[in-house]
Amino acid sequence: MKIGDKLVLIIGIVLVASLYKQLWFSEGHGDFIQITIDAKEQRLVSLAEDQILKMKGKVGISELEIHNGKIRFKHSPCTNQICVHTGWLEKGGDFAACLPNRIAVEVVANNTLFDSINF
Amino acid sequence: MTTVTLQPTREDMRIAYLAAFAIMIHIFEAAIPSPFPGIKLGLANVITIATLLIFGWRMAAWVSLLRVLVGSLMIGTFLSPTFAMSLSGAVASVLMLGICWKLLGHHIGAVGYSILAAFAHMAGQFMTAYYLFIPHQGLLKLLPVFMTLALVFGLLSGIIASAMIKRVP
Repeated sequence: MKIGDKLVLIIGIVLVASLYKQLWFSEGHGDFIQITIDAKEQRLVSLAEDQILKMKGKVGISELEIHNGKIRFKHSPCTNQICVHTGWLEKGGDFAACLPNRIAVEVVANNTLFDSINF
Repeated sequence: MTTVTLQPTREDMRIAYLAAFAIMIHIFEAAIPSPFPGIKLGLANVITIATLLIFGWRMAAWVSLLRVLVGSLMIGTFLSPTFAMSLSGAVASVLMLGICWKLLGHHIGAVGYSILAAFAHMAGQFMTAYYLFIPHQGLLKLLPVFMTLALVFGLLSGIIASAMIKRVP
């Protein structure tokens, strides 16, 4: 084997290992939140990175905070603040909604706690 | 009426000879049942690699693509999904070999080229499978396994190819 061959082999092994890491063991992979605005506009956002989302709804701007793979309504322009009191959402299927502002957030994951929920 | 006779050149004969070799291995391999469905050793690529290192990329490309075409006609998978997979793999690996051959030439030997070709082959096939046949996220979970096998099989056929090249005077 030439040096080039050995280099190719080593790079190959590293590549395969990183594929395993990426596709099998990456944390938070496949965990998203689905944000529905006014029952039609839908957005998928990854829970992997911490951020604050500002969503414009019917009565104002709702602030959604993503932190450590969890999400919550941080601030809402509505009067009863039910969405804010729902607290952190983290497991697949967790759900919070602000009806006055018409914004709903649902955690989408590969393994959800419930198969389906009917309201 | 005039008849046109095409005089095959020495190179044409050589391509035919090598492609015939590869096709033979291809068919022989198709007859052996594989313990994992859809996965085979890809021993025919030994010929492609040996051709690349002895006669250059142009001939290797001919041998590889002729092998896929004629091999599929012989086995009876021409224009079937199997053929699409086989062709996309061959095209990807031929392109990969072309780029690396241009850039690196003889700095890499048979083993290196074989691994590179195996990776490209698998990646090409996987992309075809993903976009054409099974566009499902779950398929991605299989990619590391396939790539591991590509590495192992590429290494094996590379070793065979380098042993073969040594015996060619």
